[in-house]
Formats: sequence, structure tokens, C-alpha cells
Amino acid sequence: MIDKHNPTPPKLAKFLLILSVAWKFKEEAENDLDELFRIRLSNHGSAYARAQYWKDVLSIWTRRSWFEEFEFTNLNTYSMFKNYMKVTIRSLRKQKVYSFINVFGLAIGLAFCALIFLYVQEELTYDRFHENNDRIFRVEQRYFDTDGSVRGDGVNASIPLAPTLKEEIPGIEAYTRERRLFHYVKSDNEAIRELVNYADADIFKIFSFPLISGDPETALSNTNSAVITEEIAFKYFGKRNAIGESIKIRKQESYEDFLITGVVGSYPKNSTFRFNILLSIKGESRYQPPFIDRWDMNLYKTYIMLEEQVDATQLEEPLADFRERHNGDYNQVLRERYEIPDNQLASTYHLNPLPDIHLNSVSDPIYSFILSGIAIAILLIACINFMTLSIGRSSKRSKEVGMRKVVGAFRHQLMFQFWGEAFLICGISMILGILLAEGFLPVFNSLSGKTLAFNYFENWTTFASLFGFMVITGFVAGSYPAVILSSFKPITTLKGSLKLNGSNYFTKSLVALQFALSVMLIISTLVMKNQLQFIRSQDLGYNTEHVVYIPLNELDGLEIADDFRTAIGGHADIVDITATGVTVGFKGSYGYGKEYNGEIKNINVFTVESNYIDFMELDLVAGRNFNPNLATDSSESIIITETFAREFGLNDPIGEQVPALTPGEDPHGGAIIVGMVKDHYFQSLYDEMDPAFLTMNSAWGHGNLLIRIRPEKMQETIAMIKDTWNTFVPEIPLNYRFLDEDMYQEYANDERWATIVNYSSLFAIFIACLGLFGLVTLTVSSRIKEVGIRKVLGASVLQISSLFAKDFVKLVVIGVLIASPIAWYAMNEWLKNFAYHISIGPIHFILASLIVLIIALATISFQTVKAGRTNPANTLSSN
Amino acid sequence: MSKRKLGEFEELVLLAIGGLDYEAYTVSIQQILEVHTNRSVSMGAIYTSLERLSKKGFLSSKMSEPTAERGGKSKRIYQVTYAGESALQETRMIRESLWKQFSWSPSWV
Repeated sequence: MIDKHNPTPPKLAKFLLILSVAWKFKEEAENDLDELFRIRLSNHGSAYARAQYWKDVLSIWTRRSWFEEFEFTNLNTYSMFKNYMKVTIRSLRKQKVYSFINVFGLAIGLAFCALIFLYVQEELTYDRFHENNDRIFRVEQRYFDTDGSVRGDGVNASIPLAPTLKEEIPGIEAYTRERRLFHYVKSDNEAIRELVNYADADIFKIFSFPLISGDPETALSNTNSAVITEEIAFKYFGKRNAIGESIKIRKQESYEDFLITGVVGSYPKNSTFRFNILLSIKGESRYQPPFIDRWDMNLYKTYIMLEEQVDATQLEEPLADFRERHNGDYNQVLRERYEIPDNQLASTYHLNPLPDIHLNSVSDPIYSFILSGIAIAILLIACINFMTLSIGRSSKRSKEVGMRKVVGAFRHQLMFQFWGEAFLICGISMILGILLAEGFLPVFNSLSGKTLAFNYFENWTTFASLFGFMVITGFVAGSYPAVILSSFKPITTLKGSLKLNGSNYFTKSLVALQFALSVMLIISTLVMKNQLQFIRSQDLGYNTEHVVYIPLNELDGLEIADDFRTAIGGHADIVDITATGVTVGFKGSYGYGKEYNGEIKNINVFTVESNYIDFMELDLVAGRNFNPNLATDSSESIIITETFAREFGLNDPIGEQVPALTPGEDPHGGAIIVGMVKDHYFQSLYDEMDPAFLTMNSAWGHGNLLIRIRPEKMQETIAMIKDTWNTFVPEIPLNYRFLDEDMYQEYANDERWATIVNYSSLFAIFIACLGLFGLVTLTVSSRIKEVGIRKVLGASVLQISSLFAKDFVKLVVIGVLIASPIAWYAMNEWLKNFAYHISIGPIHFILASLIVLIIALATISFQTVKAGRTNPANTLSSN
Repeated sequence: MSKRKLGEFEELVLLAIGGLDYEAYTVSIQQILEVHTNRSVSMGAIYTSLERLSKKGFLSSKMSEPTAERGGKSKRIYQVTYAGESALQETRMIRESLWKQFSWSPSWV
């Protein structure tokens, strides 16, 4: 994190400088560069100073003469070490292609690992920065089944719970309740929609939010005070001191002034309790009768902090019958509903430890596992490159091994040398990899929906883990040459009778494994893309094109829709206007969950206007449409979907009453079915279609405005809508989206996963092809004499190239065979998320195999065609 | 002679040190070179030149008293040695004798 007010030199650069172990100027350079940084900062600003700092560090690193710096030359071991270094660097320089393939491939693999490490680390350390995290608990409700097993947990709790707990149960130090809502907020300028949290005054005792200014004891004690974050302070007040300023928040239907009493500095993003603007919960709209002492309305999340030395198990006993004592009626209701015996608890309160909340209930650790798996697969592909290429090159290095052994090297010294080489290459790759990872971080952040950053120094685990990756990679990649090369007998290598050309079974199976991993990722990419394509192109049964969707934020939808109709209804570019309760395309259900014939049915309720069916272009299959002139239609008539009729067994639904709803208790109870529309996918495609009905009853509010416009003059029409909006609702800015885009947002998560897998498969196939290219080059050069003889005997270029290609095509085919069932299984699991999905067909496998095959053939053709075209005279003339 | 040869950048560094008069340390050398050459000068180049010049015996150095501007750390002050001065002198003489016989192209005069 860059502190804007007090810039410091780039930390990574500084670290690179400190790495200069034995360099004469080391300490001086650190001081010099710090001083220069300050000079440049005051003369040219921080960007220039940072850039120059980097330039200086890099110039120092490129100009140093490494060997002269080691002043241990008098010791024999070090001179041996020096020799190893020299040989390594020489062989790296001499074979630029292999060095590039190894270093670059490993760098990409390590960069992937570094990024995914950040992701996993953030997931695993969620809420750990709160100093008291081991004493903080969320009080949740737990519901039981007839047999006493847990039926489910509810995260919200009633308003009187927290104060009563503290009063009656010893050992609770502090509590806070929480509610979050979107409100419009403004200071001087236009209002902005912001997330606003409500909490109790003790929140700063419980959570470790760094309060920069303001008193943690009193900051939230008044209902008209607000605590904001630094970013919000900057957004609304610029560089002014925000304390004592006031901010306008539209909690209900008008703006109220709030005094800023505290500013919170930036805190880690991986916190379950997060806020931008914090108000006292005593000012929340429901913190008053009748809700304030209702035990059966679960409105707020409740966090408590235990006293030190108090163990959570000590609270188990008093908590067990707490519900029964204070809210026994509710348990009785539950007992009746679920037929739970009287001597058994229907529900109770239990404590959920803060550090467990995120992974257990918000995010699924499976994502961390999948991402780690992908990263390891890519790193493995790069390691395999390293191994196969060093096997391929071993015939060249074997003479060196023989020579060293003749001069008296022990095997363990040679192992040390080869592992050392691997570590050196990994070290270079790691530096390159970190730079790559830094470069890809913004992309990765937008894909994973997080704001991750490398904190090399604040968080020692980051550093230790990166180092760990490097060591493990070096160990794995260097294992083959270290173990096998060092075992060569000097006599065979020096006589030149040893034959190793990279086509043994070990190498072949490694290459096949590489392609299996690539093919797996490519099949997954194809299936995921195909499913998302399917979602986009699915005929949903209604028309969402060119529909502008405006959430109304507690304004009266019917009134606004009428205003709009009078103002612009007749405009040539407006097709139609309608107000609705919920818009189509949501995940889950919105309405009643009612029991019917022993099954829970989710009845979805659409609060609409009389023109809704025409507006959405739904098909009326039976009965009639709503009649705006009929008074009873505005409250007592509903139109159901086909699924509704089927689920409730209504063969002739017209004229029937709605089943499962109670007149008097449920607002829609007792209404008459007047019509039936064709089934349409009003929910997202994740869900099996639920029963639904349309009603004009405004009990649940018409909270959204839909306007269908003509596509020709989109910009102008929206500008006109905006003007009209501003005349009706001057205090709130127009907040609009396009319905089809907004609906597709439901799938954003899976869209992100598809993109991550897509990127991974690109990198995987790229690294695998790098390795393949190197391997083919080696094979061709080791069989170049054979090629010469074949050509002399009359083989064509095509025959020669297919001679080489055949071997590799076989490996690709084996890879496809291994990958297909695994990819099929994994993708079937993923598709199960969707109630409506494509089925995986042979086309996905064939396409993936073809892609891999073509890429592989293209890669090797460079070398094989070159081999086929060589003049036999050149290759056969030597010895 | 060959061992005593001065590279172009080394020459500039030596001249800068000579002009700084007991205030010559890494940062001030870098700064004065940037001002005079009107180009950015990297610290890496400075360190390499100082190292080479010291090896050739053209520079001597000693640590200064701790200074406030470096947070109480001392710095190494460089001075041109007699050998360094004569090397500069030699380079200058070569240049001047060459300048003397330099004939400008007519259009420039």
C-alpha cells in the first residue's frame, strides 16, 4: 500500500538492493538511494523518484561483477562453488532456447502460484486481523428437526437478544448488532448510493478498526453521528479534516444531517464486518416499537465479545434454553409446524466463532482448492519441461559428468551441482515470476473480485511461502538430472557410447501428462463457455431487449409510473412503461414458502401493473388479462403460471382460489385466479422453475420501474428519461440499468470462473508447447544422421516430418484419453449448479483434442520440416 | 599506459570529484554530473566507476563524521590522488593537441 502523504522508496527494489550480500558498496548504496529519493521527491514528485530508484537498483545489479565480489576465493569449497556457478551460467548462455523455455515456463508457473497463494492466504486469514478474534462470536439461531439434528442456521437475530444476553449471562464483555442498507448520501454535490452500516457504540471495543481520529468510546453514542472511512472522507470532503463536518444521508424519505465523529483508516479487506459509513443502530428505522422488543423478528446480526479467560463452552448451558425462556411461543409455533415433540427444542441460539464465519458460511473452501489445483498443474507442466529438457540434453552434459568423476568428484557433489543449477534457474524464474504476478495482479483482482496485493515485508508468510515455492520447484525440477546424471559411469560417457535422446518411457509419460493437463483445462473452458453461451441465447419466454430498469428505493412505484406515463408516455421513442415489484432473472425465490400436501412450495409473487403481460410479451394461455377498469382486479385477482397450476394440481384453475395462502393473514390469501400465462424463466437458470403468480395487489410494493425504449435513439431517450426523473424526484439521482445486462449479472461469478479457467488453459498449453518445441529440437538433432540416410535412400520431406510427428501425436492422443474422463466428471459437477444446462457431448472432446493436436503439430512442424529439408551431404559428412 | 587509461565516464567522475572539493561523496557526484551532462546518471555507473578508479589508484577516500542529512550515518568522501590528477592532465593534453589540429568544416565558421 502506497502512503500518498509520505512516499517511501519501492519496497521490492529496496529488498533487491539489500540482497547484495557481499557487495562492497551495499550499505552506502542504501543510504545513497534513500537520500537521492528524497532529493528527487522534492524536485520531481514521487512517481519520478520511484522510477529512478528502480532504475538505479537495476543499474547496480546489471553492472556488478559477481565473481569478484566473493572474497572467499582462497577456500577450496568456494572455488568449487564458483566453478559450478560459472558452468551453470555458461550452459544457460550457450543454449539460449532451452534457458528461455525453462526460465520463462517456470516463471509463469510460479507467477500463477504466487497469485493463487495470495487468494488462498486472504481466504484463510479472514477476520484474523481483529485482535480479539478468538473472543468474538456471532450469535446465530439454530433450528432442529424432529430427530434433534440441525435443520439449519439463521444468521440474523432479534433486537432485544444482545442486551438481554449481556444482562443475564456473565462473561460477555461487549456486544454490537449490525444492519447494512443502501442509502443515498451527499455533502455538497450530487447524491451517491452508498452502503451504510448501523452498529452499537461498542463496535470499536470488539473489532480492531483503526480509528485515526475521534473517540472510540463516544463516536457512535448519538443517533446523529457517523463514523466514516478515510476513502469516504476523501470522497466527500477532499483533503479537509472531516471531523466536525456533516454529511446528508437519506435514511427514509428525506435527507438528514449527520455529524462526522470519527474517521477510520484503511483496514484489511478480509473482514466479515466491513463498512464505509457507520451510524448508530439506535437511529435505524426498525429500532423502535413494535420491532424493538419482538423476539420473533430476526432483523440484525449480533456479535458478542467474551471477557478474557471466559471460554465459549461456559456459555453453552445458559444459552441452551435461552430461547425457550424468552421466546417460548416461537418454539411452540415451530414445534407445531414441524411436528417436533414437546420435550425437544425446536430452536436455540448458538455461538459461531468469528474466524470460522467466512469459510463456513460465506465462501466455499472448494474454490481455494480448485485454484490451487490449477496453479499446481501449471507449475507441474513447467517442471516437466525442465526435466524432459535436461534429460534430452544429458548426452551433452554427460561428458562433463564423466570428466568431473575422473578428476575425483563424489556423486553427492554432482547431485549438489545439478540441484544447485535447478535452484539458480528457479531463483531467476521466481524474480521474473514475481514481476509477472505483479503485472497480472490487476487482472487477477478483477477476476477474483478481491483487492489483493503483495505485502512482502508486512507479512513474512508471503515471503516465506514464495521462497518455499521456489525451493520445492527447484527440488522437483532438479531431481531427475541430479539423480540420473550423477549416476553415469565415467567410462561410458567419455567413450561416447551412452545414448540418451529424450525418447525413453519416462520422458514420454511426462509429456503425455503435460498434454493431459492442458486438454483437461481446454475441455473445461469449452464446456463453460458453451454453457454461458447457452444461458445468453436461451429463450426465456419474455422479451428483455432495450428495457431500462430503474430501482425506486422506497418511492411509490404506481405513482411514479403514472407520472412518467403522463409526462413521456406518448413519446415516439418510448414503447411502454410499467411498474413491478421484482424484476425477472433473480437467483432463488421471492414470495411465500408454504407447505402444501407435505411439501414446501416456493410461491413467487410478481406485483405488477395491468400492462405487465403485454410489456414482457408473456403468452396468456387461459382466462383473461388484468382489467385496469375492474376494481376487484387491483387486489383480488391473480394470474398464475402453468407450473403453478401443475404444482397445486389445478386442472381447471380459472375461478379457483389461490391454494396454500390464508385469507386475512397472507396479503394475497383468498384471491381468485383469473388467468394463466405460459411458463417463463423468471428465475435464473440455476433454479428449477418455481410456481408463480402475478398480482396487482400493491401490498408488497411496486419497487421498480421498467421502460422499454426504441433502440434507434438510445442516448437521447435515456437523457430524456433522466430529465423527467429529475423533475419528479429531484433529491435522488437516476440509477438505471439495462434489464438484460442486469439479469446476466446473476451469472457473473461463473463467468469469472470461466475466464480464469480460460486463461489457465492458455498458459498451460503455451508452456507445454514450449517444452514440446525444445524436445523436438533435441530429438531431431540427435537423429539428424538417420534423416540424412533416409533422404539419400529417397524419403520425401513429408515422410521425414511425419516420422517425427508420429511419436508426438501418439503422446497427445494418450493425453486426451487420460484427460477426457476427468474433465467430464469435473464439468458434470459444475453443470449441476444449473437447473437448466447443456449436456457434455463428444463435440467438446473432439474440439479440444483437435485444438491441442493442431497446436502441437504446428509447434513441432518448425523443427521437423527443417529436418526434412536438410541436405544429407551436410549431416553425413562429419565423421 | 593502458592500465592508467581513463574511460570517458571515469574522466567525468574524476572531474566532478575535483570540483567538489572535500564534499565529494556518491550522491553529490551523481547530482553534479546530472546537472552538467543534462542526462540522468544511474548510481550503478557511479559505483562501478568509483570502484575502478580506486583500483587504479586515482582516488583516495575516507569516512566522514556522521551527518544529519543521512540520518546520522557517515559517508565516504572521495579525493583525487596525485596519480589521478596526472591521468586527467594526460588526457587533457592528448585532447588539446588533437584540438589544435582540428580543422572545422568551412560552412561552420
